[in-house]
Amino acid sequence: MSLLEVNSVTKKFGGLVAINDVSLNIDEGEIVGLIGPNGAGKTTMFNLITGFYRPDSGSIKFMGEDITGRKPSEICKKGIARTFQLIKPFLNMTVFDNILCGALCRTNSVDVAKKEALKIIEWMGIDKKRNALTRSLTLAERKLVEVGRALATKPKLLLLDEVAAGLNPVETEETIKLIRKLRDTGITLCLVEHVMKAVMTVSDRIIVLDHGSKIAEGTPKEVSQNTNVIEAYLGRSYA
Amino acid sequence: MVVISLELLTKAVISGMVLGGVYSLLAIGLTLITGVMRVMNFAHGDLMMIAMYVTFWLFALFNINPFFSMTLVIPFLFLIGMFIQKFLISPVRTPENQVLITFGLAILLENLALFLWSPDYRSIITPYTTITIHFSHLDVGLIRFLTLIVALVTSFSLHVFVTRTEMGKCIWALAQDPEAAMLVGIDIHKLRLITFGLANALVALAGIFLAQIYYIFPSLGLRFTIIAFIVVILGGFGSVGGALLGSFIIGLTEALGGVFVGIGYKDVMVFIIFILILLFKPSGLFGKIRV
Amino acid sequence: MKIIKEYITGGLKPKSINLYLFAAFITILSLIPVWTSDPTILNVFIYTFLFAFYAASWSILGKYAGQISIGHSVYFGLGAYTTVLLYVHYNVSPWLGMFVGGLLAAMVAMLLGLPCFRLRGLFYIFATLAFAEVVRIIFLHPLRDLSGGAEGIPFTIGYTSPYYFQFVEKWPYYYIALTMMILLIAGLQKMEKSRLGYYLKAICEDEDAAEAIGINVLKYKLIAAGISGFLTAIAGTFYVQFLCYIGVNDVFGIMRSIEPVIISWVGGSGVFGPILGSFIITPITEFLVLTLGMTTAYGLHMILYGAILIIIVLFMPEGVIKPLSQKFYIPLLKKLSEEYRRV
Repeated sequence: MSLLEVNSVTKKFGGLVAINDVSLNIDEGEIVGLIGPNGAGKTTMFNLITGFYRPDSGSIKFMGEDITGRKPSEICKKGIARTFQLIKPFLNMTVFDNILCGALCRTNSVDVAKKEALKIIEWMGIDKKRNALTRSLTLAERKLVEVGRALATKPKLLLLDEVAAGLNPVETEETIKLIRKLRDTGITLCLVEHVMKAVMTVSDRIIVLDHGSKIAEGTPKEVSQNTNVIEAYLGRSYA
Repeated sequence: MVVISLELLTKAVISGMVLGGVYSLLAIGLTLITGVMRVMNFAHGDLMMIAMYVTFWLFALFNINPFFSMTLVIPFLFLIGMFIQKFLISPVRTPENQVLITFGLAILLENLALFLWSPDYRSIITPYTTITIHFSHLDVGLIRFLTLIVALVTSFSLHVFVTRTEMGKCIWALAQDPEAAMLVGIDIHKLRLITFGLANALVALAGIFLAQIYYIFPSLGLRFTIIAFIVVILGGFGSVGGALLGSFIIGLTEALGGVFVGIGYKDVMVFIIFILILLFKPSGLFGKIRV
Repeated sequence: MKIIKEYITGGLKPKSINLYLFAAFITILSLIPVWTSDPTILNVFIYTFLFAFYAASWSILGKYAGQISIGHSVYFGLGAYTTVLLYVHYNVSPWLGMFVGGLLAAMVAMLLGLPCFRLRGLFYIFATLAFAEVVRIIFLHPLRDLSGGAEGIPFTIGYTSPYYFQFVEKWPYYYIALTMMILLIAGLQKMEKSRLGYYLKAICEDEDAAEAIGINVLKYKLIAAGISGFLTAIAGTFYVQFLCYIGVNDVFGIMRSIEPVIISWVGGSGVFGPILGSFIITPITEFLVLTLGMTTAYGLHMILYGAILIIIVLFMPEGVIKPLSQKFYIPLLKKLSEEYRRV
């Protein structure tokens, strides 16, 4: 049984079909990369999985349980956490408080949550900026806060939406290391990415979407040689 | 069991239609404001109240017939509308603060009127007030009839304006996506000024007619504001047709509700409609702006 | 002695300074009825404490949860009427009636929030206004026999009875109001550091991000609404018990809806924002009533409220507490505590 099963999911917005009868699985311990040209439907897929959108048809199962159409807060409690493409850290709170809010997902006690938050902050290496207002941080630091906050909810599956976007090469390298470190703690990961270097080096498996449909699936090497994929990104003349 | 005669029913229906007409003028202006500027103007009804008082004083002090004073009152309210938009609404950043400032304005206007002109009910009696028109079985007051006609004509003209003219389309574009509108070269600040002014002109029109068929007193503003909003929510933000249809639905509900259920409960019925919309179709009957 | 020594060496911790200053503040307030029994002065303080309590209760929903309500008069009036009617018809002590009224108000607040919180914030603001008007009209006409309509119900018993929450002198009311205000201050400070406090802050920052980390936004907004309604009902009860009169337009009127808004907006956020706001606004209102008489003052003070709301939103939407505390409070802390100076 896969950790996450997406079965024949379709999502329409008025006349536009954003996701067209897509099925995919994610197994425990994997790092899966979700790629595709702009507008392919990658973030929509994340929104469907995490409950921000409701599928028009099809079903989504997590750990065998049907989570189709549930509220995002419920799905988080079940064990799926996510970051956002345009990151949404709580800007007017400190780094510590951001992570604390995440940790409060798993405990009613503020003291216990504080201890958890501290652990995560140290693990992520942002301890120095612990009491800084998130508003004062750089983009890379804010991304770490967002990931840390999601991590504090103790997820089994972590969905990272373009976590490497807007970063310089050094920061991108650090992000790749972070992703591997996350996997080593036992979390299953799914990444939406445009930064090919990041997603190809780190993923075990790649799924490719284009115009709402799945057009390829396989190892990074297989996918990068797939003619449909090349055509989707670069046009027919390159295929 | 109360026996309701056909005559009473007919009177109620006519009453409802006339009310609907008045509401439509208020609601069309309001739907433009909420649709285009995403501002909930809580001073809407109180601005109408001011228009009514101005009409009254022009009549009481200078004997100017309301139909003539239209030429003064409407531009006056148009300018006030632009003034409010420029100095009170656009300087304020968040929607919540914009709402609070219009609410403050509503309180200010209502109590200013109360203070200056006392809570006494006023009315305007002109030579036309008592004229009635006869339609086979029905008698309709002339002014009431005119109100309805004017409301329908105005709604229709506005619909044409918004869908066919250049400026109207710009307003529609602004309602859909302010940033995109800016990018295609639409001067959104000027457009907002004009829209707010226009809405206020409609309010003035509504007030001028209402002043002749109803009483004039300071606290009527709030009540009409609330009803105008319910109409706009029912019809859908930004939809002129929705505002028109909605105002007749609400007007008739009030009038018929008053007959069947009792005067005290008619507001409750309107409010129940409001809650039902929120529960089942918050974007309204024709809502195109996402909720 | 130790405190004085610490003061001299400037080594007080900021936390204890806050506590000492607060204690001094409470002590001074507690002593006022001892120094004077002038009913006018006591009146001003009583209303100040009461409206500070009311505004702080409102701010739980309006500021902490970010859902502005301009129809809180519903809960105020429900609390007041529940208490009075239970007393007049069933001889129930207002202390118990207050609690029942609070529960009723909490339920109504949550019921109103249920359809509205799922939609854009502005829907809720309007719904509160419309609902408040509808409730007022219902109590005014259809429920006239029950509520006494515009004339209201006089229910004074003419002598002091703690059980029935009525006192001939002012000072018992003074201390009850002061206690209420202090308890709420303490309660709010505790809430800010609790799970609810953090969650509400997160919701205000970004609702989607909050949902994504397991915060059921609807649930917590409803909780905030319920608590706010409950406490407002208690404020309403105190108000009528103090006035010994209840009338529909008084407790359900729009001024009861605007007062907490303007006080909270003038004051600012946090626990002390509404408190400060009340200490600024309420004395002004009382002064107007005293100099101009009830009827003239009523219209005038509402005009003033409207104007103040407009001015505050235009020029100081964050309220006065931040600038004031920067100018007076922080330097005071710095003077008293070396540790704070280092920060």
